[in-house]
Amino acid sequence: MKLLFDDALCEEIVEREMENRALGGDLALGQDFRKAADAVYRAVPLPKRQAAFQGLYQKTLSSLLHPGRLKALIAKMEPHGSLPASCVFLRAFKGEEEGAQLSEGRGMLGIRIRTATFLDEAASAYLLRHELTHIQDLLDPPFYHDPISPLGQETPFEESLLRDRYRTLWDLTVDGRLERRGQLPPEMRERRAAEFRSLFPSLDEENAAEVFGVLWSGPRPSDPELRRMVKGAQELCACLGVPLRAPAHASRLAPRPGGAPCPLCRFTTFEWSEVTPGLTQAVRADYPAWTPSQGLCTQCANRYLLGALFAPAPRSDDRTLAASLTGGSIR
Amino acid sequence: MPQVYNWQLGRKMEYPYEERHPERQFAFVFNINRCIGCQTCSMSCKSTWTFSKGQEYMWWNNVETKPYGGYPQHWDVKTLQLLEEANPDGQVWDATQNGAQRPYGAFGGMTIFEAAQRRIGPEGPQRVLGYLPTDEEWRFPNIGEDTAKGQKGAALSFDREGVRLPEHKSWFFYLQRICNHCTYPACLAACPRKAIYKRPEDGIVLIDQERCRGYRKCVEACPYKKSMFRVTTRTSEKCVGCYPRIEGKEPLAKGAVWETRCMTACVGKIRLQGLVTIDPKTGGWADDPQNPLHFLVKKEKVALPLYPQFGTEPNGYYIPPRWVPRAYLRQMFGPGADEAVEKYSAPSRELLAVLQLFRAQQAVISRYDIKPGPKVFETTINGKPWALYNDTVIGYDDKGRELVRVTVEEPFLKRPGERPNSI
Ligand code: SF4
Ligand code: SF4
Ligand code: SF4
Ligand SMILES: [Zn+2]
Repeated sequence: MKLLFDDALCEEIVEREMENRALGGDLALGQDFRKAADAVYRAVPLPKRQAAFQGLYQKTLSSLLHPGRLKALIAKMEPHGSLPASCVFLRAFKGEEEGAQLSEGRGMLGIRIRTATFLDEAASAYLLRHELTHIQDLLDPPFYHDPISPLGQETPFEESLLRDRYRTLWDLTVDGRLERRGQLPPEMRERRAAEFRSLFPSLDEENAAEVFGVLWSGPRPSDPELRRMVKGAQELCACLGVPLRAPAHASRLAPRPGGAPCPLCRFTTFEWSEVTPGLTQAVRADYPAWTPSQGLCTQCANRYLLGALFAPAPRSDDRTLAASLTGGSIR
Repeated sequence: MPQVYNWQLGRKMEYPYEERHPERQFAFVFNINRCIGCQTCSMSCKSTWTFSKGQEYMWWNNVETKPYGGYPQHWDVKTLQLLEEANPDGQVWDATQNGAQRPYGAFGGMTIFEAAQRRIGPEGPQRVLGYLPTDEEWRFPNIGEDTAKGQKGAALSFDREGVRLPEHKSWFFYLQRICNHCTYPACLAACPRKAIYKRPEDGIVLIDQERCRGYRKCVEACPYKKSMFRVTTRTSEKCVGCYPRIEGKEPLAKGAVWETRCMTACVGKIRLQGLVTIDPKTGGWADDPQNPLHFLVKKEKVALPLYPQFGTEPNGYYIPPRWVPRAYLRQMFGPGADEAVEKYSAPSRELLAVLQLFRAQQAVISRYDIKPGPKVFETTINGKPWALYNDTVIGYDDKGRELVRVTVEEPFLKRPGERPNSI
């Protein structure tokens, strides 16, 4: 596979590498780069300077060990034949931006990665293996990937919840496979288990562990199977042949992980709100499928509490009550 | 390392170059209390100097919401933290020292130049303590806009006591920032190519684009993060103090020295900029009592430098926002903050007149005069009697020509009832 690097990522990798080496007492890479850069300042006219520097950074990057290391790793991915012929690496700023995507004609692979991940041998190996396994699934005919149909039928909220579940279940089966090949960082299994529990809060602890175990070590589900599993705990258990025990107490609040997205506004949050009955009523008016156990961030809670505070006296029929609690907007 | 005198610290300090001073120094006062955060200043600079390719993220003038905003993000907290790590618990002022220059006090801690010598890099000790902001930190120039500091543990409540003077419990304020054209520039000190220079005629700090080789040492060193790297030219750029205007080359000004773009554009009338005369013997500001900047900074001491403890002797001065907790203001403006707020809250007759000069016209005012007027209002402020006089203040340029004449009481303009565009 041919590897390409976008200029912003390439420059940051080279700069970071020079800095790291200098801190370790090795000044050679930096000095060589400076010398070449000086020549560009002296000889290349201003309008062409940026392009000349991009060339210099690309050349320096290809002299480092990292691109070769990643190339070798990709070459060992089985089945390799299904992957596109070239891959472009793009810069990500945050961890949640990291990931892979296929180009429209499927001829090119794009990988977003942070510079720190790229330079960290273990972290970049895991990211690449994980993301490429997703891509291999996607390109595998028996996976029956359907890129068009939505997961749910009703509200955008439902769609985003189902998408979260889809992603988590698929991630989990990918990581299960990596573990069997001895390629999973040790902390990942517990992280995936926590993600899983937070998205299916109605399963009690034992039931959740059982379902998780089957998914983790079982065969890879197909796209239609995943689509069925995300509908709810009942469908999930039925698909996997695990008996569903009596659902846990409905009002139990699942421990929401800090930094997970709020199901209403989709922004990641570290501040989950307390859910009062009044708040539940106000939120449900907009999002009938929402349950308190899914949680919401304090910003969203504020919005509904304030909406209720300034609402005119509620009328008898439900629709106008909802309108008054939410400042008049109703979907 | 040479020793230079920093009057804002009330002591000598270490600096990589010998002490030298310009004839006159570019300086300005921003009255934070009046800023409405409209960003007209930011746009005026951008449309003049940084509208080209490679300058997309550059805001030589920016206005950020404190305490949470920052461009680049967390610039001040990060530098304060580096200093604290270099000199734990030692970054303290002694406000009782430094008699003549009260209320500035004497700084007992370490500046970014002194603390740097404890950090040994691969090329020996650093010249200036600093850090290089990441691209991500530069990405959101107005992050945290209008976000107030709230009450701890009461996220979902409206604090009815939050906005009572003297210190609001729920607060924010706008901080207007440009390059401070520092007396001891950190950017200049750090440049290994000697590409940065301070002009002897007006103290404006510039980067020679021919000499710059894009080492980004100035970006790393400037504690205010006002030197910025441009990817297209692969050089650093910064506020140029609108030097053509200072040289009298603004076409509209007909040879007069004009205030910069960001100053003259200010909608809130918070800005006053000019040149102060430097005493060649002391290197400090010459005694020039009728210069409005001299009055605000040296006599009335109502305008204070931003983070003077960094040690660059910045030439931008701020009238602190009077509703903000004093501890925060002391950290940001030094020990003079309490007195400055007190004076601004019950302004003297002269201060009230000088404040009328802010944005009264576009040319630089070198001198002012006050013609006494009648008493028009009486009250008590903080338990003390206070009176308003309708004095007239007159501003003159450097050649003694009258520029502007304004009264303390602003004229009441009544629009005729019938106008073609009346609503
Ligand atoms: S504010 Fe920064 S860029 Fe401006 S003169 Fe001072 S150190 Fe240099
Ligand atoms: S003085 Fe001129 S160059 Fe500097 S920030 Fe203001 S408008 Fe921009
Ligand atoms: S133009 Fe004046 S009032 Fe508006 S943001 Fe700038 S400094 Fe503040
Ligand atoms: Zn939310």
